[in-house]
Amino acid sequence: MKALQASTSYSIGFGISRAAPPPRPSGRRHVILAQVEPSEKSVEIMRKFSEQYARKSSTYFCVDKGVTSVVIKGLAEHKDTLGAPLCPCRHYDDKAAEAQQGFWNCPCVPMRERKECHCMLFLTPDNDFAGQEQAITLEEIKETTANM
Amino acid sequence: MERNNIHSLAGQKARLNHRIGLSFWPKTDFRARKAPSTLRVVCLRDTTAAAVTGKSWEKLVLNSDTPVLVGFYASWCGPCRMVHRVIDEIATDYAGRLKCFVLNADSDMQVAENYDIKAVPVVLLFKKGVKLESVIGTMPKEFYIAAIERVLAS
Repeated sequence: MKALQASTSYSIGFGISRAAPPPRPSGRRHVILAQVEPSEKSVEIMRKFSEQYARKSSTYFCVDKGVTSVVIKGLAEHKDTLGAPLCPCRHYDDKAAEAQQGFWNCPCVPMRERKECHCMLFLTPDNDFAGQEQAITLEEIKETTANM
Repeated sequence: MERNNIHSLAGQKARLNHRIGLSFWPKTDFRARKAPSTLRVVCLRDTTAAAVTGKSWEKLVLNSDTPVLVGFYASWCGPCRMVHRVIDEIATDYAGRLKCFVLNADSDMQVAENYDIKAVPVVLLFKKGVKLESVIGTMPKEFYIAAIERVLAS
């Protein structure tokens, strides 16, 4: 059940119970502190998913693999905290509700229907930013996001 | 004037007869932001542009005598980094004529909501406190330059 997943994962950061309302961080400081690195397990899951989905959809990673790496980490972070790989390239009033609704969970509806990924994870070959690769290693992800 | 939506990125290609990827390549390595030791993990502020927050919004953006560019981003948004690099170039190119800031939409929810920010990256251009242009998505530098020139000329 997604709602349970979401609250369970939130409890890692905020330690709230199921009955509590969605966490409202009390200050900006806490928001920043909550932005921790995603778990390696989730990064690996999202990395594999990205490779598979690129092949399946005949799309390619960005010529700048740093972009790909950050997005994969963003998906992993949302998977950790929300229980679903919510698109990291959007702003949401309520992330938990969005993750449960599912429209922007990767692969999002625009991607599945029209191959539109404004996060530039999956690019059609005619896109100016498209590279020629459908593979990315965990090392590449670590390397390109090392200084973040 | 609202620019095309984010999904028109591929459509823009037709009007670009040169490779635009190059201007987005990092000039040097991504610069890690020197964060205070208490804030060990910081997100994607891989830019030299100053941050604007909800608190400083009125002073820095709305009451600025100089036109202002604000780049909205989210913590783990890959393409936002590309736009940040362009903003850094623009900040140098337009020094004295345009002030450039970035805003984390995740931390400053209220500002993001006030301007109805949905997809990021989004670049908004202000003059005398009024939003004149918005560029949604990751566009080639020329696209931002054109919007800036319209604002400066207005």
